[in-house]
Amino acid sequence: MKKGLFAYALLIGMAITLCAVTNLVSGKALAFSSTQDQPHLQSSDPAEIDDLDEVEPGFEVLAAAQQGGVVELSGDITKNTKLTPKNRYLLKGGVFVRAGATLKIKAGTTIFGGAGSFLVIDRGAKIDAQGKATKPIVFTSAQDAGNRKRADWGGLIINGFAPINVPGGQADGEGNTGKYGGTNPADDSGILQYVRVEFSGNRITPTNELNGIAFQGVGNKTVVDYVQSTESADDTMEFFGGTVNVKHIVLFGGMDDAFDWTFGYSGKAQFVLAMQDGSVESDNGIEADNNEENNELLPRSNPTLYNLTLIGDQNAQVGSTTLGMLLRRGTAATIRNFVVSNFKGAGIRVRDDATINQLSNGALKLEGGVVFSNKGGFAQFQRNDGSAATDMSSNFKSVAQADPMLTNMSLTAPNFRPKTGSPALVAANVQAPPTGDSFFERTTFLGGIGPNEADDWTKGWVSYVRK
Amino acid sequence: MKSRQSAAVLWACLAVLCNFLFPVQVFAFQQPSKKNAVAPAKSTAAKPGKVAGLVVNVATGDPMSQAVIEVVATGQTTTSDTDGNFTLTLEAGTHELKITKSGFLDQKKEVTVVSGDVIPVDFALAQQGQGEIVEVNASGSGNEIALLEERKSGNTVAELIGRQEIEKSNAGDVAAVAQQLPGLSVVDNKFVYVRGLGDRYSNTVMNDSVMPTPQPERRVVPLDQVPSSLVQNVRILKTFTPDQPGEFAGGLVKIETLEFPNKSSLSFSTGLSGNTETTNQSFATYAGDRLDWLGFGLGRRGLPATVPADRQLIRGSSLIPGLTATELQNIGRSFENVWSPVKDKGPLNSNFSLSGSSQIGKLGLVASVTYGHGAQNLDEIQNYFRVSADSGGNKIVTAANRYRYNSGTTNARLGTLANAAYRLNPNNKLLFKTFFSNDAVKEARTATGFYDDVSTDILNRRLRYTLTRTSTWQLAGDHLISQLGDTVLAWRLTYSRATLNDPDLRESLYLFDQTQRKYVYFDTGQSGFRMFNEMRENIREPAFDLSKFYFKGAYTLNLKGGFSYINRDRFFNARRFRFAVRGLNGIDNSQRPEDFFAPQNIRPDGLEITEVTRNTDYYTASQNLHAGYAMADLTFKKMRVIGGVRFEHSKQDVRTFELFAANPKPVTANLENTDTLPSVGVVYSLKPEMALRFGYSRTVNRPQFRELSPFEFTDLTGGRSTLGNPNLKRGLLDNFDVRYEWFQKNGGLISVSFFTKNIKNPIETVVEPTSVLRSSYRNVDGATNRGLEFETRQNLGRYWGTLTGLTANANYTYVNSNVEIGDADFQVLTTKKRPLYGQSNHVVNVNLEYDWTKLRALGRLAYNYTGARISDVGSLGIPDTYEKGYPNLDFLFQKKFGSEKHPWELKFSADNLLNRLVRFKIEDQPFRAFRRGRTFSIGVSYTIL
Repeated sequence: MKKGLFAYALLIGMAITLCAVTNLVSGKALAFSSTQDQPHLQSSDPAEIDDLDEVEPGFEVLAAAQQGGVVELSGDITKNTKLTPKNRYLLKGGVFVRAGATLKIKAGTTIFGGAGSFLVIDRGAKIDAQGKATKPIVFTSAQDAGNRKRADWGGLIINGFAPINVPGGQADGEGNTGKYGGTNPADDSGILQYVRVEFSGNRITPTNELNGIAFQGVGNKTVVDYVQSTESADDTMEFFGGTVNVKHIVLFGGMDDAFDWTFGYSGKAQFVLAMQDGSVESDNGIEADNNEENNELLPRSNPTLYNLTLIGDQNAQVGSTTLGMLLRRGTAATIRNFVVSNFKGAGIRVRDDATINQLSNGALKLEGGVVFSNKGGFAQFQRNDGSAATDMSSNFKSVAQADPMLTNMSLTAPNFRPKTGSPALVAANVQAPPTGDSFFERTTFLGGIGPNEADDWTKGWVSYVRK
Repeated sequence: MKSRQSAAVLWACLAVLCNFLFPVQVFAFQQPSKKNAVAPAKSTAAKPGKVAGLVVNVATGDPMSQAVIEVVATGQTTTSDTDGNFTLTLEAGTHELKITKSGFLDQKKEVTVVSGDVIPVDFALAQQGQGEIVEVNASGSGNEIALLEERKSGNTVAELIGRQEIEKSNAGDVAAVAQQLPGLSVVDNKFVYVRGLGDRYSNTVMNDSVMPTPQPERRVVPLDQVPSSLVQNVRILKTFTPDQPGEFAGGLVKIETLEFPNKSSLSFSTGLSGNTETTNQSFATYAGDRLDWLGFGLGRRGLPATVPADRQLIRGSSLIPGLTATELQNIGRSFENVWSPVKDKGPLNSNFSLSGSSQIGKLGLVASVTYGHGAQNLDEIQNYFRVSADSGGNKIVTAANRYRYNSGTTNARLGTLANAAYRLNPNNKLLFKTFFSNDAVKEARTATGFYDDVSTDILNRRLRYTLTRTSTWQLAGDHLISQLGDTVLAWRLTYSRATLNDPDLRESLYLFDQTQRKYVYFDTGQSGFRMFNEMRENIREPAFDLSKFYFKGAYTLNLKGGFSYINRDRFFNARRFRFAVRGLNGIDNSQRPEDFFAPQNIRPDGLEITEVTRNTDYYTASQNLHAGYAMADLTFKKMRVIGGVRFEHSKQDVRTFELFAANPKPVTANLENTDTLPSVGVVYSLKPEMALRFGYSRTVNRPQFRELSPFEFTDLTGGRSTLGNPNLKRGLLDNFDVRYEWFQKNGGLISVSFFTKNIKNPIETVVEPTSVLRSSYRNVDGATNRGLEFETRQNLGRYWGTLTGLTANANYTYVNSNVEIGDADFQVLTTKKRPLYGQSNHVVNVNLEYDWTKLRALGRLAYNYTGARISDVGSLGIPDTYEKGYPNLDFLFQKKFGSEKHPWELKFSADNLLNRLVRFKIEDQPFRAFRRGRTFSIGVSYTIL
């Protein structure tokens, strides 16, 4: 009985697929797909229900001629489009989801990036990528597993209409990735949930680059929760202005900075785990700018970050600064409940008079943290010309310099949970979230993850594979 | 006779040789017909001499045919040909010549014929009714007079520099020649700005045909490509007439290659020079090809044969095609492992040139070869700025990146020319002209300094070799058609080509690791980088002009019309590669590049070659331009009116392809326009020696190919990326000119001009915000340039007898330039109202020349000052960058030895005597600064024939 049911489902699936390939899906095929209410399709096997789930009014399913076949994505996507785990998707060149269209990706789908490719969600377009802890959506290299490396493809770029501090209010993305920026802080670019982006990034020039995931002027109606960016050839995750809030973020093995912002970013973040892989090169845990060319442009970068664990690579082969946090070029920020350890440079560097001014006037806050075992020392302060400025670490609040005692700091099997007795668990140092802000959760620990196994939100969907 | 024939054979051989070795050239000019020459008078002991001359119309500057030249004493006569040329063979001694032409006043002139030599004598005829015979100033000779006459009587505002001036100036190429003219400034030693309008506003023609450019991102022709020894004269037209290309803004640079001299000749020159910053100083270079010295060094720099032409160099997988790890390893190892500049001693510069001419019956030939080798060491600082705050919270502009550059540039330049003219009869002549230049620049550069983005020092090494070639072939004819009432038909078919090869650029970047305290390899975009570029541009241009004179009483009317078609195509292709670090796995990344990139480190788990060619790295472009014009030139008593109209229809397109796409879909940009370009000019003779000119014209400025392409590209090496704009329109210019000229006795001249240019929709560079800044182009609201030019030339002996022989030449240009940028285009620019990019307010030239006739020696001191100009448009609050004013002082001394017939000439020169710091500044802070050094040279030339 079960076999027969499966064969029937397979037949329907193939028919749908065939229609999709011949571009018949949108109209007639939709009616046809309503066969799902036939009684014998009500299987108890969720995989079979998913097969039918992929057909949805208003969406065109991109499917290969054969199950498991390769569908090439290139150029513009201008209508609502759905990707499913039945197919393998290959990005070729710059792929742009244009305004008005939504790219829906079903849980468990893998998208492979060919050399030089990247995916852009334009302003006014949306991505709807809701994976599951057991079935994440994966963007990875088109190279065979074991052969993958950073920069195999470009990465994921999301552009929105939220404010940036560039005069005129909009800008063009690095690497020809479209316009971003606007006047709507509550802009909505969709959902990223249980998503991994791997082996991406591209340095066109030292400062013109594609990052692992770039949020460019993305607004705070966008949901970003449970997202990993791993083995990126540039910054692992970068924010160009905007107000987007991110939660449960894993930034692993980046070649440049892990968490990077500029152009007036003012979103929120909580539960961020970052680990650098310096076997070729790595840089800072946080690299924060207001604006590179003009450090005094407004609105000033001023994000609110809670619960970060930033782990460096003391033996990084190349790394100019490799600091835990590099706060520079006039940025403000509220950074609370952080753990910074194992960097080749200092734990914290506040650079440029414009940034030091933020620290003196209270717009740059570092409160509640553990900073330990960074080769370059605890904290550095530098003037515009790079010369040492007065030590202002007294402006930091409740920052301990003691071993955070994390479970495992190896690149092969990292486990960021603090062990019993860790200074990250000293309640007096833990900062409470801003009152009335429902985004933040109250914690009893510093760092991106709690001490108990039950607290481990990385289980299942996170991968630390490095090639 | 025998020597003449052997000379002809020599030059024919040379021309053929040139044709074989390079895309050749041979060139032609006109030579007096033997038929016209009167047979020598009865034989005497002394050999006879020759008189060769040119007859021009004072009013138009046009050569006059069919004028009768008579030797008064003997009654011998000859007539001038279509080019206004004539020759007479006469006994040594003084003869009186009389020239007659119907409709013109007779003119007489005495000439002293030297045995066995050719004496130039030129006539400028005035029309009857103009009331006065204009005496040609006797202090100049030959071509100089013709140029002076042309200026005096020409129908445009123009600057002229002739062969003799070029020889005196010690300028090695046309860019340096142009530098001395009023209202001209030269940027980067190669791009000519006329009246301060930037390179996009200048246009260059050689022998009346548009020249192609080897510049991938510009239309402008780099004039340092044209060796001055191949040039007869350079004219800069500052006002438009309908017979010139309509793409005319600041001015039109017209180059004419060597013309046919009046006698067989063979001359040779060579020189050596040294530069105080370079010669015998530490000098960066690198091992290249064995033909580097000649400028033919592509051999060893080619793309390795292992690199597939049709496939991208990436690793393949089960999903994407590509190469295997082993294939990539082998390809990677086949790239030449040379990355670093090496230090040598700076060499002496040398140059050599040989030129000659001959005639065989109706055939005239001229050919020339020139070769030069130069080196320049530059030590330069460069700072990049940002806006920030000081500790008090006040906004300041402060340096972010602070670099020191050292570069060694070696230049090898070869130029050849061969021209031939064939005179069917006095009324019909055919010309074949070819020109070829091969210019190679080899550069080894190191940059070190603080790089703000990585908060540490970087070390950049770059090796580059750029080879540009320009060749033109032209077939032309001049015909006087008597059946059509002496209508002159001039036609030409020109094919020209410019190519750029920029093979195997190598660049590596190291950064200073503050923990290890040493430089380590930085695995980023332009690091471990190899790039191969090529470009070519072809122009095909058939054209003809018809012109006819009418004379009636006091009126002279010249009607002229013509047609030209320009077909231009261009192709550009780049391939970029870099060695990516897959893993260090024991490779010491602090080694110098040659050890870091050693073959054993290029392996699948170490360094791997990968292709980073972009989807904008391949483009083709074309332009089809049809133009027709009609104009009339009426002279009536003291008034001359020139008016006409030109029609141009232009269609341009640019297609950008992805090189490796299976079915490449080109991204295309088009621009098509038809323009009507009227022009009116009035010349009023206040007195015979004074003229007042007025002019109005409308001209056009079209976008260049790359500016129209909607794709982002980065200047070939570094620099800001640039995005073309497919919505660009062409700009329109309304030009107004007024000039007063006073041609004084003894060759004195005073001239004052005023001009205005209103530019509608000028194309300006703007800066767009991206994560890094990016340039683009916009038609901005408008721009206005207003200027004043003053020029004088005086023989000081006229005022003070003791100063006889001393001539002063001075010119000054003031330009007030304003461009206004509307809000929509303003983007992130710092200034809304500023001078046009590259525009100097002040340009000054002063020359003092002493002609010591008795000693056959000449000394000259030349001063040039170019005022401050914008070199980089500021954005995001960073002010505009200005190149500060720069003064330059050159000295030249030359002396002749030996017989008049076979003179030796010794030349000594000292250039850039002031050796001031070249400075680019943002407010008061240095953006760039360097010194070029003083250059001393000594040269000798010998006239063999």
